[in-house]
Amino acid sequence: MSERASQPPAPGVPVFITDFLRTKCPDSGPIGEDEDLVLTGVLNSMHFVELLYLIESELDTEISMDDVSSADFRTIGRIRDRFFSQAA
Amino acid sequence: MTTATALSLDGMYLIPPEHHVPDTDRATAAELLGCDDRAIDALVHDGLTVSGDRFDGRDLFNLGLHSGTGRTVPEQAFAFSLRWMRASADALLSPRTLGFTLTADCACADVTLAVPRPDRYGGAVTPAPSRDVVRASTVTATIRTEGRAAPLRSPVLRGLVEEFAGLGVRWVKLPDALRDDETLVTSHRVATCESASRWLALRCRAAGYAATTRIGWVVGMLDLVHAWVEVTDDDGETKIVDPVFALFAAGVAGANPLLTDPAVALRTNRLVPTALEVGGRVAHHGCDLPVTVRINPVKEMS
Repeated sequence: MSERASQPPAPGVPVFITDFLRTKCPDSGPIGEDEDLVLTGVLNSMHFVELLYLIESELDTEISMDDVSSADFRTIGRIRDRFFSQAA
Repeated sequence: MTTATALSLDGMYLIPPEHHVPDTDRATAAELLGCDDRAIDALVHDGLTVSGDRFDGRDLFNLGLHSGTGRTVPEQAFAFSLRWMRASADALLSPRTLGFTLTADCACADVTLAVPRPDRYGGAVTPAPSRDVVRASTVTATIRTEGRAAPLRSPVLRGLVEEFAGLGVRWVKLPDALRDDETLVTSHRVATCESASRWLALRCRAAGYAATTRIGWVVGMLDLVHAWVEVTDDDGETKIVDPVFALFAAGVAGANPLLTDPAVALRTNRLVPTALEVGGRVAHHGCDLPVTVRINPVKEMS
């Protein structure tokens, strides 16, 4: 099993996020909330854009690029805290 | 023909063989281009460089960005990143206070980072920088930027801006060895931010105007390092001319016309300059891990 399989699942992360990441990287096990999605290859620049649009669709609002940085998308914990903190 | 009709190599500049890096597999290529396998076959048949059924990611990016299909990843990414170009003049010019953090995300012992210098453009940096580059793995500052839309008075300079806009240049990703090569602008009608700026600065100087290139960041465009031109106009004022932003704005529906007007030298409040020219690097370190920049608005006390 991969190292990430030993990581605990992230509480409060919308299911569509984990489903999306699993679709993009089907060989990955459960993704820990602090696991770096870029360094581990789960998320690449292509998926990044798709993920942005998905989050916008879920929130039903445009994400201003002024208010985010690439660091906000490095882990699912950061994605949760940045965009879905009320649900966390 | 196949479904490749919307994806064409016409006018494409392919990465030269000596710089070709087959780093992208076929499935990823199809995903990036939003096409099927037959379309990839057609592109290969038409000359897309392939090596062991792998492609150069830069070729794919450039092909996707200029495909006109609207469904490729590069097109979608640019549409997202360039939304700000539809902003009002006031939004493009008003002073902004921003938190700035540049981080080398690695364990390299010897890291050198560039310092933001919006004070060059009437803004401010806190704490005040004592150097233009520092040996550190993180640079943190509060910066203040402000825009300016000044008339470009010199008809010669306006002519050069119009000449560039009229070349039909495509902005592309290029290998490091070619990124600053301004000869590609006229020979192949392709440019990076760096080569376009060098092309324009060289022509300004040839026409007798003091001009230099500048590199830095753009608020809202994540980790992109951008380049533009500083040129001293007939009225003695040093003004900003940004050939690539004009190029991008021309493709954004509803973009503010200030961005494409050759008679306006537009310095938006989104530009965060360094003290470096094209050829300089915002980060020096010993590995390939990314350097990330965070530039976010700071809520000001009233």
